[in-house]
Amino acid sequence: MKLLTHNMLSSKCLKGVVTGYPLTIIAKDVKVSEVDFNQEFVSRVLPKLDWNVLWKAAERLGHVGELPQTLIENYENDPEFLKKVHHVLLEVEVINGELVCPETGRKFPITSGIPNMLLNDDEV
Amino acid sequence: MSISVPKLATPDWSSDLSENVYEPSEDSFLLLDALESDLHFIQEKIQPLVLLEVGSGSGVIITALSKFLAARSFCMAVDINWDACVATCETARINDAQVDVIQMDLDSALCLNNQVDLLVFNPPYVVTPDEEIESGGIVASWAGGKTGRQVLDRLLGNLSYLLSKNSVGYFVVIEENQPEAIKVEITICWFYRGKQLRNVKFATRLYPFCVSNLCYSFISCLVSNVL
Ligand SMILES: C[S@@+](CC[C@H](N)C(=O)[O-])C[C@H]1O[C@@H](n2cnc3c(N)ncnc32)[C@H](O)[C@@H]1O
Repeated sequence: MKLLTHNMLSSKCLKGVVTGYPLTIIAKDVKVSEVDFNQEFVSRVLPKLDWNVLWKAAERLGHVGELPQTLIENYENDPEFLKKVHHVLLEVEVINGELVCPETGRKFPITSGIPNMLLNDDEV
Repeated sequence: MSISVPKLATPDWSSDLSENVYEPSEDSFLLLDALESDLHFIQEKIQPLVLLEVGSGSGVIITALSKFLAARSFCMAVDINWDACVATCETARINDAQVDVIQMDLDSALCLNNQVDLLVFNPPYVVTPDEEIESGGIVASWAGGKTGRQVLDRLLGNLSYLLSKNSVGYFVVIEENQPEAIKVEITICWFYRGKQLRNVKFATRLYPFCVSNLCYSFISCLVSNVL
C-alpha cells in the first residue's frame, strides 16, 4: 500500500462509523523502491489529496524527511519539493501491517502490500 | 500521410494463475481493444491522473493502462477475491508496472470524492440466481444474479461520487444486461444524487462487439465539463 492509496481509504463502510478517516497505519514492514518521477503528475494530484493526512502518515513511517507540515504555496514550480512529495506518495510502501479505524478500533490487515478492507456480514 | 495510432499492448500474465482467478478471456481482450481504440481520446481529452479498475482479476487491464500511461497517472485496482488481488500484483510486477491493489467490495472503502478520472469494470455479468453472487471465489467472477446486473448496478449507483468532472468509465455488459436500460439508470442516478454537479455534461456511448454468439457491449459513460 502506497501512501497515495492510504490518502483515499476509509472505514466509513463499517456500521455506525461516520467518517472513518484517516485510518491509522501500524507498519510492521515498509519497503522503499524507486519509481519514475513525473513533476506534472505530482503537482496535478496534490490538490486532490489531504496534505495533513499524507504528512502524518509519512511521519509515522519515519519518511517525512524535510517535508513541511503545511503545504507550501506555488509548489508547481518547485521540482525539489515535488520530488520529496513523490517519494512519500509513491516510493514508500507498507508491505505488512494494519490499518485501524479511528472510530471503532477495527483493524484491517495489510499482507504482501495489499490491505484487506472486507467486512463481515454483521459489520455492514 | 499516416497518423500513428497508439497501441495498448496486452501484458503477460503468470502461467500458473490460481484456479480461483478469472483467466483473461474474450471479454477481457475486447475491453482492451475498446480502450485501445480510445487511447487518443483518453490521452488528450481526459489526461487521467487517478485510474481505478474494479474487479481486476488477473490484472491485465489495469496493468496495460499503467504501462501505457506510465508515470503520468496513478493506477489502483480492487477485487473482492484475495487470489485475484495477489494475481493483479503479480501481473503488474511481471510487466514492471505500478499498480496499487486493495481487497474490498467494489468501492466500499474508498473515499474518492469525485477523483477518479478513468474507471473500468468488467463485472460478473452472467444471469444467475441471486444467491450465487455470494459464493465467492471464481463463481463471483461471473455470477451477476437477476439480469446479470446486481453487482454492476451497485457500482453504477455510486458513479456520481466517484467520477471526476472530466472523466470516463468503461463497463462490459452483454445483451441480457439490457444495455439501453443501464444508460437510463445511470442518467437517473446521476441527476438524482449529483446536484452539485449540475453543470456537468453527461453522455453514454455504446460499443457493440460480437464474439461467437455472445454479444458484448461496452458502455462508456463520459462525464465532462470540457467536451
Ligand atoms: C469478469 S471478471 C473480470 C476480471 C478482469 N478484470 C478481466 O477483465 O479479465 C470479474 C471480476 O470482478 C470481481 N468481483 C466480483 N464481485 C466483486 C465485488 N463486489 N467487488 C470487487 N470485485 C468483484 C471478481 O472477483 C472478478 O475478478
